[in-house]
Formats: sequence, structure tokens, C-alpha cells
Amino acid sequence: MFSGVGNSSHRPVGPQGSPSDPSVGKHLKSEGFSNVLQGLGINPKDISSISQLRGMALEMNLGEAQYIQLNQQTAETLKSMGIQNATLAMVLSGNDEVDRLKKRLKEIRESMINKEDMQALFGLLDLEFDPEALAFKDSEGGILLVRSGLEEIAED
Amino acid sequence: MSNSIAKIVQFSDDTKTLPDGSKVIYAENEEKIVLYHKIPFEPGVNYVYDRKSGSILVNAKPGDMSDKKNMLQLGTYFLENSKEDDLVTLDVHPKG
Repeated sequence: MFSGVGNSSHRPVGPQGSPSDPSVGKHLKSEGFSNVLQGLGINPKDISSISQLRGMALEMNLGEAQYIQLNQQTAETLKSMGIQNATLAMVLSGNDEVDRLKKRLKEIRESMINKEDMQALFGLLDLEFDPEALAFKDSEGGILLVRSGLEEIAED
Repeated sequence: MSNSIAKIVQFSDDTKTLPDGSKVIYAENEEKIVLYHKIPFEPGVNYVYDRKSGSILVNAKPGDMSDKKNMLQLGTYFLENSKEDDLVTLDVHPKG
């Protein structure tokens, strides 16, 4: 299964922990960034790289899913499936992963504010879920991540 | 992405702050959830929630239920005043 889900950019860090990308270096030098790493018990020297994620919503809880950058061949394959202008594809190798993806999409759908409106829309479209309606905007994953974390703390 | 050891969510623009002028950074890994809060001209406050035990540390000192409540209020304030385009999620990878 292929799904155009957004974008990601790899930001390599040098051998001494000094990032080759200035923007990531700025993160590592930030007091707040250092504090959260300390809070997590992570030594900055143990970090090899930092990726800037987008489309996190689909990546969450789908550790077995594989993301691939598109080349001409994969782009042509996607095009033949009716998917155009994707910048990143996700490959799922079996039904279990598809089921997990559907489950995650259902969770996201249920967490939406205008749930009733969305359900009405799904009903009109006669779809179990509608990836377009789920609006996987590139940076929305951050908000979902924070919201999920806060819900976990609140439930404790 | 499979060898990620942490995810960190923060404003993509360093100059952006919350309406009260403060900054918040959210971070998580398998064991902990961290919220860092920085008010201008004041020391930063680091809330560390242990996902297994449910305990909380505030600047490395044991916290109580009121600290957990403060952490939740802070996170809610962060969410309420953040737009999806304002944030960036950083994925941290280990060496080796």
C-alpha cells in the first residue's frame, strides 16, 4: 500500500555531535532543547542525527511501516495508482500493518473536534475513512503528539 | 525512523512565543514525557512525567499532583496557542 503522507528531511550531525546543518545546531545549542534531552535522560553526545519530521500522524504507532523517498520509478508507480504529487510514500507489507493504519486513522478521526460533521461527511461519501478528509497536513503531527501525551498524563 | 530515541515538538520559529511571552518545548520517548517552560528573565522549569510509574519531577525534584496539574495546564495552553504550521517535530536518532 502506498500513501502520499507528507515530507521529511534528514539532518545529519557530525561525528563530534556538531550538526552539519546550522538549523539543527541551533536546536542543540538551545537551553530548552538541552533541558528536555536531560529530562529524557539522553546525552547529546549519544545523538547521531536529528530528522525534521512531517506527516507524523501516520508515523505514530506504525513502527513497522517503511517510508521511502520518491524517485522517478516509484512516482510512476504511484501515478498509475491515481496518486499524484506525493513527496513521500509509505510502504506497508501486510494486512496487519494495514489494520494498524486503519486503527490509527480511526483514532485520529475520533479525536477531531468536529467529529459529527466529519462522520456525516464520511457517511455521505460512503467511506469507512477518508484520508483527504483526515487532513494530514505536514506539521499537524506535532499537535497530535502533544495532545496524546497530555491525555496520557490526565488519565493517570 | 525506526531507531528514534525521542521526539521533540517546538515552535519552528525561534522568535515565536506564547501570548504570555513564554516558550514551551514538548518531548517524549518510551519512558518519559517532558515539558519545558521558559518565562523571560526567569529560570526554566522542566516537568518530567514517568510514563510507567506516573510520577513527576520538577527541575529534577519530586513533584506532586499540583505539579502534574500545572504540567497539564501548561501543555493545554501550549496546544491552544499553537497552530499546526507553527510547530516542528524533531526525531532524535542515536549513534551506532
